Amino acid sequence: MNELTSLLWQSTLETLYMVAVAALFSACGGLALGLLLVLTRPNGILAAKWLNRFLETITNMARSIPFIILLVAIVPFTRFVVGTSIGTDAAIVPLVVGAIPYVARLIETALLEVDGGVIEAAVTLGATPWQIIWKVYLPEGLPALIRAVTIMSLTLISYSAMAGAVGGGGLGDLAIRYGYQRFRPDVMISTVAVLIIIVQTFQFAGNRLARTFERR
Amino acid sequence: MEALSGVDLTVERRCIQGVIGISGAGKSTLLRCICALEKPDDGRILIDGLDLAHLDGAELRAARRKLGVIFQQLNLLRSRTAAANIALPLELSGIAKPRIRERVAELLDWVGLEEKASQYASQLSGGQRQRVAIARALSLNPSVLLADEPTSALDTETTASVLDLLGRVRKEFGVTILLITHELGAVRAICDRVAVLDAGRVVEEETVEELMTRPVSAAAKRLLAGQFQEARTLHE
Repeated sequence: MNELTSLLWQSTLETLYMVAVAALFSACGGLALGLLLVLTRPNGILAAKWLNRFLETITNMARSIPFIILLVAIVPFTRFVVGTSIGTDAAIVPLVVGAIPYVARLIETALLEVDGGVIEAAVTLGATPWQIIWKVYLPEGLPALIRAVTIMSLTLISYSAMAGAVGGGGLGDLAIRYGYQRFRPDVMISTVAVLIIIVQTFQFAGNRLARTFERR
Repeated sequence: MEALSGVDLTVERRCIQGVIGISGAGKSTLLRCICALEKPDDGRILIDGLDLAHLDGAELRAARRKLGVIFQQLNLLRSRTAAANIALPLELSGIAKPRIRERVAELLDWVGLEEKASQYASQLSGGQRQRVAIARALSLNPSVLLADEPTSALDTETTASVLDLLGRVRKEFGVTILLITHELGAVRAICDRVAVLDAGRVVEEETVEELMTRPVSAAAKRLLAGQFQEARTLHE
């Protein structure tokens, strides 16, 4: 039992570390890409047809690569960024690369929900594009943005289960190596239990935070 | 297709000019052209001698500040309180914080919403929201105020108080007001002159009294007939 507890604890920390760092970078990258996707649309405040088409294509292409393949396909890039292609840090790079186009789509949807009339009002008040982003899009879209980042974090938890393929460790890796390959149902069940608790906590926290900023 | 053409309208300073027409007459397009959300293919939109239809970038942004707009949907920011909504135009033009606070307090007081300063838009009544929108439109001391159907969503009593407020805007600040509406009642209540818009054209332009007593165009006659129709239905 002691062995199981320490294994679980170790893996939980690895998972939380991977997800937290990846979430931070993915949220920033996704926000930038999501904003660009919205602003460069045909009726956007920085309408740019070709840039928009280019970003659309890149986003769709990245979205269509299965994560387990992305994980190994970008090994040279991973090595370039963190200096190694194995371990927990090495798993974070593909997590971020995989999550950015995904969360960018979620953020795009969240920002498109911001009332177009409010954007036009800001335009007629003489707002610059930067001001529209900081004073209108982001604060008005905040509850929806928080929801988008929550969903992204949950997806990162599930992606991180595949990190074992590059020696990233974490709960998913523990479940496969001990629970499945070594026939240890106790490890399998407790891993799943911990994952359920983490997901529930994230979702609850995200919902609460989103509701705080909702002024309906 | 031409949404608007031959719209030749000059509004005197400090005048409250009504633009009336049924839905589909081109009122919204006209409004969008005046505040340069839409660029006309041809023609000019002059405010204090500046042509909004032919300005761009920083020049357009500066010119827009001479124009206050009250949108039909109000377009208040949900994430901001009444006070912060009124502060928005001031923030956007880079005015110093203490000066913004002063100006917002002044405006809240003027529209009678001092006690609602920290309420969010969703916590205000329709009339109160309308007042916040008016205060926001006035915050930069515009020379022209553009009001799009400011009373169409309000009950009779609130309508009267909002129209009264618009009258005070002209009297106390000397602002020129362009009131776009489909309601003859609003025009009769505060406008000096009125233009009748029909199928994208100004079909007549005159004082409100002339419109009421000697309507010339078919559109104007229909509007007046509609009003009596309404009165009769109410009576029955």
